Amino acid sequence: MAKFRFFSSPSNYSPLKQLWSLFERNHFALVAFWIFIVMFILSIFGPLLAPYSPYEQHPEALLVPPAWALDGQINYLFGTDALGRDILSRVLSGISYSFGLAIIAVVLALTIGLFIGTLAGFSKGIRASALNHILDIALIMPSLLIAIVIVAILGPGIANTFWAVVLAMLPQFIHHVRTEVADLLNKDFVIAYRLDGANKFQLFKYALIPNLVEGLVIFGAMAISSAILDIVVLGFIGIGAQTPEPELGTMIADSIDVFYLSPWTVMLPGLLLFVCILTVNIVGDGLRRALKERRLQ
Amino acid sequence: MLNYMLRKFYLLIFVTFGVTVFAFSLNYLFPGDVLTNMTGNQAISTELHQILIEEYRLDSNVVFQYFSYIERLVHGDWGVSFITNTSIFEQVFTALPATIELAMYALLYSFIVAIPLGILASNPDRPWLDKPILALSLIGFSMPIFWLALIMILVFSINLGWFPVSGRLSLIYDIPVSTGFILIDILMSEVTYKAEAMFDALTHLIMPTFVLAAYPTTVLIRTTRQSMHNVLDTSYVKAAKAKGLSDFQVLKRHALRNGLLPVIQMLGIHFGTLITLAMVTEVIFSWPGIGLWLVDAIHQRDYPAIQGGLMVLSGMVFVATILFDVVYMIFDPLARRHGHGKI
Repeated sequence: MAKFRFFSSPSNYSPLKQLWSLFERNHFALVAFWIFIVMFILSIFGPLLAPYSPYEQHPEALLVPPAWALDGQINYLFGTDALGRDILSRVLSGISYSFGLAIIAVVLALTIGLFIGTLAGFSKGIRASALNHILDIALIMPSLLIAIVIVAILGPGIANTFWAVVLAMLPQFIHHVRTEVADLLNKDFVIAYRLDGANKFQLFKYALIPNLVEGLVIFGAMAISSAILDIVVLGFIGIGAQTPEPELGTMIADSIDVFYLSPWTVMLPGLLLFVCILTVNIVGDGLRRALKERRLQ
Repeated sequence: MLNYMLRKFYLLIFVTFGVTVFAFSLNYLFPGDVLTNMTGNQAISTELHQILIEEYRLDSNVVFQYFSYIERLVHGDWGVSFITNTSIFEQVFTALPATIELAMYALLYSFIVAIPLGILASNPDRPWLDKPILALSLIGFSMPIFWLALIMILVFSINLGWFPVSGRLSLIYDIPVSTGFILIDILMSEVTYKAEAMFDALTHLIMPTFVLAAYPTTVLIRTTRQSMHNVLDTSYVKAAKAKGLSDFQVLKRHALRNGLLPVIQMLGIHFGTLITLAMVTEVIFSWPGIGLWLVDAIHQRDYPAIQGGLMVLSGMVFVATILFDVVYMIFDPLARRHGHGKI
């Protein structure tokens, strides 16, 4: 859709600002972005806001329905589970496990992937092609399957799940960075910079990083949703976070026995999980679309 | 083409080597005694210990151990399970058909649903269809699979009582196992209650298939939509329209053939995810496939079983991906030009 313009002036804003202004036009994505920010803040401060400890059991209030139900109690806003634990408190801590941990995992994997990927992008010849083959093979394996393999070796637990998710995402990031770096190194401005006598570190800092950041942010945003899914699925099938921990997948798995009596024990954590993943996906989608539009301009 | 096939064949050998080396090294990576992990025998007596060390070549270096491991793999001697003391080889290959069956039906279902939806969403004459279909696919993509399964169980099994909650077949039907694929087994069996058993198996199948199909369906909708958009923009489609072909003719003769090529490629890329999701689906619906079996093995720290299960699963994913790639190359001559050593 070509809009009528009075002046054909080139946009002088910085690339990131242009990306943001394009992103802002997509209202769905903007709303999702705000929800994402709220979730992020909750994942840091959630445990402080929680009215009870997520492990605290209230034997006098087992399976209390949420407060909006007829026989609900206002002091247990989301109701309680079979052991009388307050679901709101558990969900608030659960966000920091499922959502916060996924973000940390993605950031860590991004950082490691950036360095290994850049080194791989600089390498040439037989080393590069050997690495290529190994990466291509590692990329076939879906991240969840790699995570299951790693957890099977390390044993169940939330810490092992975290490392499994980081390691499982690493091949994608390395591959992404490597192809981008290899592309960039052939660009004229990088060659010019090299001819000026820049060493590899300067090249990395001034020529590669500014051009990589945007793509990495978008790639990372997409990866967060799969990281969340990996963590909760591992928790759900019982090989991730272990039972008393308030991880959302584990919580859902714990409450399956009473699911038919009291659906809210499964529905509320699941709904929150769904909102988390949906917002991340919408934000990632919006960013990708904005980037595509900006490149077309 | 032959060149290409050869290259894929080399890759297959390389991958097989990688997977077996990985499975072999698991013997050392898992906690516990190496010999126990290899045989699955937890109480090895002193005399037996000596014999086994010689048989498994544990006295020589790792390379010989690896070759003796391969030899045992080929002969189907994969050790025994810690828990049941039965052959892992047999267990794996009785569980595997159930998983493949589930994944196949889910793929078939997602084909039937996703491709028409994708085509509809790409139709420039009906722009109002695009957004809802995309939103639907985004929701399906973001739905945690186990949560979807639980909602479906709550609605369709508990409240409405239409479908059974778990398993493959009601216990009252006794069907002899020949292929491991339940529908084929029922068709081949010679029992008097064939029709009832078939109906029962189908009602058991519906929910797991639908749940598992949610992910591939959303991916396929997006892929189809995108590639149809690209194809409908090309000049040969415009030329076909200018010649006066009806929309259906354009679709059938020109657009679909080219538009569906990326779908084949996408299937290859997402096959691994499909198998992993099938594992999760099996856990929820107690579907007796390899995923449920492997998760049980991980819970019970049954190391020989984990090793066998992981090897078969990853091997299957690799082989299927390479096969999909070959199929893609057969259908798309243009892609053959840039397929150098890439998967």
